[in-house]
Amino acid sequence: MLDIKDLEQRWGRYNAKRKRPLYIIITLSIIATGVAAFWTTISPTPLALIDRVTINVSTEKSVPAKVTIIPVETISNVYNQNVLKPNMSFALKVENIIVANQNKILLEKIALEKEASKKEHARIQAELLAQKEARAKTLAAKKRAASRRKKEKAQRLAAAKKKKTSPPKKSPTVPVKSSTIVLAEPKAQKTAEISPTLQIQQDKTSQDELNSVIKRYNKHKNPALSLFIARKYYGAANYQEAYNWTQETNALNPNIEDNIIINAKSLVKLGKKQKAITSLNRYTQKTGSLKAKKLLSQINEGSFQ
Amino acid sequence: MQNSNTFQNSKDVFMDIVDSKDYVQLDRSMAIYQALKEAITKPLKMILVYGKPGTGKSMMLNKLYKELSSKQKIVFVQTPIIDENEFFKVLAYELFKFNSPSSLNFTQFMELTTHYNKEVIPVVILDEAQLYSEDIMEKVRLISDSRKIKFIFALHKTGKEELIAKEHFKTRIWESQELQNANVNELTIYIQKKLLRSNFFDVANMFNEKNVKVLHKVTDGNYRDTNKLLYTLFEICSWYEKNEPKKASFNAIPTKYIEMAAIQIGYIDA
Repeated sequence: MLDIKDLEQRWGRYNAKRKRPLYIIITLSIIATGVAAFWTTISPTPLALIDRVTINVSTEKSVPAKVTIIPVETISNVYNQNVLKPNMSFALKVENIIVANQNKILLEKIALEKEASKKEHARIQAELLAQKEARAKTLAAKKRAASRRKKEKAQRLAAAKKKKTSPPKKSPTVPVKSSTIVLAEPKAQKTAEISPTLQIQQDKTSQDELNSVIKRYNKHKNPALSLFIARKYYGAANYQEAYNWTQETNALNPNIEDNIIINAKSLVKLGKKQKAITSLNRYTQKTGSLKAKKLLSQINEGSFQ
Repeated sequence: MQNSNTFQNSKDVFMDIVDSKDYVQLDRSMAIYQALKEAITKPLKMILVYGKPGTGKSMMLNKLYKELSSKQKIVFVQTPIIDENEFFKVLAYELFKFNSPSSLNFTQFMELTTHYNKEVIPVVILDEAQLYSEDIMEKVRLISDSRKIKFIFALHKTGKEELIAKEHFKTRIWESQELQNANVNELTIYIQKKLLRSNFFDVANMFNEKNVKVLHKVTDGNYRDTNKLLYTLFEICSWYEKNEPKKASFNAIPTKYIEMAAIQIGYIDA
């Protein structure tokens, strides 16, 4: 048999227990509202409002002006005098010290970076100078060798002439002269006339060579071949093709230093300096390649255009 | 105003009795029931029905037994027979009408099975299978291996009694169906169907969505617990109807009454 009265009491207890968190939340929110209301009443803003209101009231004729204005001003003055305001100057000092320290560290860092870049630049310049000197030396040596060979040839010819001078009829000075002309003429031709034909011939052969390499590349997809093609095009001043082939190489192997260099050079030649710098920067950050750094500084200085 | 006997009579609808007539067909349980029926027609050795207590296993198996008993030989052992000899003796009688004057052991039972070759393999349903000893279950396994008898086990899904976890059973059980507690929608249909079947339309209309949600929260959708809770709820309603008719409004079931019923049967700690 059910004892409903007892059951109702138990349910009452259960219900109260179940709703306890709700009651707590409501009580807390009421307390919070009360506290907030208290704070807003003692804050200076309402006083200022009161100040304004009382001034308005004081202008009315029915209320004596002296009575209203003076107490309100004194109240607000007293209030302003008595209210303690936190002195934040120490916080500003601390902040300034921290900022100064940070600035110092940053400046030191920048100075160090500048010094490092200067050193790097000087080193690259020195390397370039050394290379130039070496090239000049080799050229001078070549020239000396050529002049030596020329002298020897001339001496040999002179000796031969002397031998031939014995038969008086067949030894006119004209052929000798002509021979000197003949000797002089081919040199002039070499520089003025023959060299273009040679160039043309060279171009023809290199184009055939290139075609065969391209064919091989299409068959094997070897990055060495595509890099070779890129080099050839760059050498022939076909920078767009050179760039295309470096891209092709990059797709197969993105870590070939020479390919990155030719790619950047082609980009500069195509007027895309910024793109080249970005590419080189990325590569130097990744690998620390000296070659790439050197080219990068050259591009930045404008010595490579 | 309700009839004074309305709640008194409607509470009887939720009495905890295993009767196939009271079986409420819900979509999910009907799908499992159909799957079970199909599994029996297949050449499977063992079929497993499992779930938490009160999810309707016994009710479903009872319905299955009632439906199939007219078509084929089927034995439903509702209460576990702990004694082994007694177990085989009961099976021998129920399956082959063999009445042994003395006790019957496993060897004798197996001997018997060889003499009874029937076209349709007889089915034995063992309810509360977790209560059988390991020895009996081992022998049941051997019988099922002989393919002379097909077994359906119903057991509780609890950690200790994991019969299905045993390797030799795992490999032989071909069909297993898990029964679960009802969700809120299923519970609504269950209550409505139960009441409407007994023509308590007015009481069925009193249950709104909030009521069912509270019921589901308290019972977790367990059918047995729901029956028990509703039985007590109608008892409380009946008391109010009789003693304080003005206090109680019966357009809807008050949540307070449901909670009181839950406190009464110990589902809510107060």
